[in-house]
Amino acid sequence: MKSAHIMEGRQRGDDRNAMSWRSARHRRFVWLGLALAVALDTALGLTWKAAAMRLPPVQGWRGEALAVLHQPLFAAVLLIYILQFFNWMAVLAESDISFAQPISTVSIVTVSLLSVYIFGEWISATHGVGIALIFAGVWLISTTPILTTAPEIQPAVDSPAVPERSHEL
Amino acid sequence: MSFKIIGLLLVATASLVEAVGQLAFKRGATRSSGSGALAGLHAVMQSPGWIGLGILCFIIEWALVTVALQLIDLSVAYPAGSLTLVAVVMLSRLWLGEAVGRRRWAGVMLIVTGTLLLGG
Repeated sequence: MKSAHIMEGRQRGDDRNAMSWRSARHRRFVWLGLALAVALDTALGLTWKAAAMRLPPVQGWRGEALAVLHQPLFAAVLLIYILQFFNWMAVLAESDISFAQPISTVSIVTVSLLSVYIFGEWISATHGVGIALIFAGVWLISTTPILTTAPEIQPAVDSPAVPERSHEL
Repeated sequence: MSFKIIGLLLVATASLVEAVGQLAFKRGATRSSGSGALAGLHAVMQSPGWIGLGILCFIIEWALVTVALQLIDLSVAYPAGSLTLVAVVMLSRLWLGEAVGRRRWAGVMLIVTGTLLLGG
């Protein structure tokens, strides 16, 4: 079941057969996970900044640590971190990290755009070009196969590097 | 001047450490038999070594960046962070055997360039 599910990721455009509806499900799962990863990353960045801005100006390492413990927003940061970990593991279980990691950098864009509204920062034309390049890169990567390696733990999959054998296992 | 170089070296090291951490997470996620939404729990229980290594890497990275930021500005440190992306993609090919073709590399380079423009 798992192997078959994973194999779908390797199906290319020329191989749309009876399994394509499950392939579509796999793609939807990964993209949903990536969207959630970007949302959580954005929330993390903004919450962290808001928390840091609420810290009183303190001197020294111990004072800083104590102030962090008394700021409830840092508990929110920790909670988002935990959610992010579980979501990210779900994404990684179903996709290449060389696919997921570059795409998740979209959060850099969302954080900088939202900072404009929330914290009154502003972005220049150069920043605009940067944002366009990031989206172009994400689009390019989105046209490559989501998963190109076989799961290690299933003995049924004997040669991980050969995508031709994508029959039902 | 030398402080700045030490700061940059620290940030570069931090990027590589984070890349190793990401790869360890990926390794843990792939090795566990669970997939889907519960992959995280399965991975923690079935390959605690990889997950532990990943978390350790993130703690080390955080410490390195914290020290580095006392030596250099965030605007200087930030671009070095995009090293992580390049390192992750290189390692994913060498260590995990992921198929990283020209198209994927081109996408990564566009993203890295975009990130540099956005941070500068």
